[in-house]
Amino acid sequence: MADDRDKSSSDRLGELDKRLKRARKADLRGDQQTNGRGTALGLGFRIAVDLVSAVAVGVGLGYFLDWLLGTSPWFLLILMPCGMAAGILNVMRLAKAEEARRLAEQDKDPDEGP
Amino acid sequence: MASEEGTHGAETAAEHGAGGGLAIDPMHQFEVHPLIPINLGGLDASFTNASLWMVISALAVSALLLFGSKKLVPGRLQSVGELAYEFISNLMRDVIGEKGRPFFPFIFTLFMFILACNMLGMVPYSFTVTSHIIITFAMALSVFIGVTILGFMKHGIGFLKLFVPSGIPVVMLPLLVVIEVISYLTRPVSLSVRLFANMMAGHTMLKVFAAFVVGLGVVGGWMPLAFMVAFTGLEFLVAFLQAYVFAVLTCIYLNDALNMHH
Repeated sequence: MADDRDKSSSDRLGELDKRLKRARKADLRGDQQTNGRGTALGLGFRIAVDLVSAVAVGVGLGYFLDWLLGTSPWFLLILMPCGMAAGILNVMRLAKAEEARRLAEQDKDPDEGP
Repeated sequence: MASEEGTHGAETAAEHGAGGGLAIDPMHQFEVHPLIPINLGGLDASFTNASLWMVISALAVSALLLFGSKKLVPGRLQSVGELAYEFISNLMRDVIGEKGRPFFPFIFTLFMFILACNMLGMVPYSFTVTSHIIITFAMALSVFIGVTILGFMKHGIGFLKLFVPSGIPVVMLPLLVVIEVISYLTRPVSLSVRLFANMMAGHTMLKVFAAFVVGLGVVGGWMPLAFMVAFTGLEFLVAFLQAYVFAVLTCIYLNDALNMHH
């Protein structure tokens, strides 16, 4: 630190800037890591609920339309499988998004393992 | 924390176990009862314990952000407020980008309110507002309706393209549009059920295991007690995580409405 005094103030400012940038990057990386670990539990629960609630919505919608139009059981029969398909679709989308996020994170800093 | 939950469990057990033996009533904590009965033309609009804890949560958040934020060098309380602000600000920048800036107050309020409700629910003898599906569903539904209106305002009728996947033969379209619409309608359901189920399951578990501590007595009660301590920690994590997940998903839905790409 003794040679710091010899440098011009703009040099020292530049150095400070570099140090700040490094610190900020490290800070950001730390944040992301804790986020990744914390949301694993959340992600698992999200998948489960997304899968089930889509079926519930399909059944509910079918039952409601049947009740409204008096066409029992046709809308229920059509919309329940659609609900199941929507559930699978939800989960696939979620998995794809999660995969993309993870890949982007790895690209950003290849030295950091998952 | 754990021991206080334990005594509460003992009380409920004593109340209901009149015929001897151990009766656990873990759902007792979720009962809503009116504190100030109000009747608006046949409509029950009483001020209940749920209302009370919502008011307390709102006041707690307001107090945290209003009274803690004066100094240039932050104290502990101010740090909490600033951390929360930065947390949500970063989250929104990551998920939505600069376009999401105008919606920051909404997301921040939502996050802080749910977080306060969840955390205050961890205080023994308190009432966990978010463990009732009607409250989480009301919040999720307002997010859902708001986001849908926003989507139509931004993109007009073109917002309906969200339900039409690209590169699909015309024959398949009716089926796929129905599936897409159901998938879209799933959002408020999954959003509310996730929060409600997590909070209710966690608090029920706490109560059940607290009753085990009392039931097994001094000899065998130590094992469930140790579990309770660990589980209470986990519950704090869940309380935070679910508020975070609610905020993240609201951001994702907002992003779909603003940027529309899939």
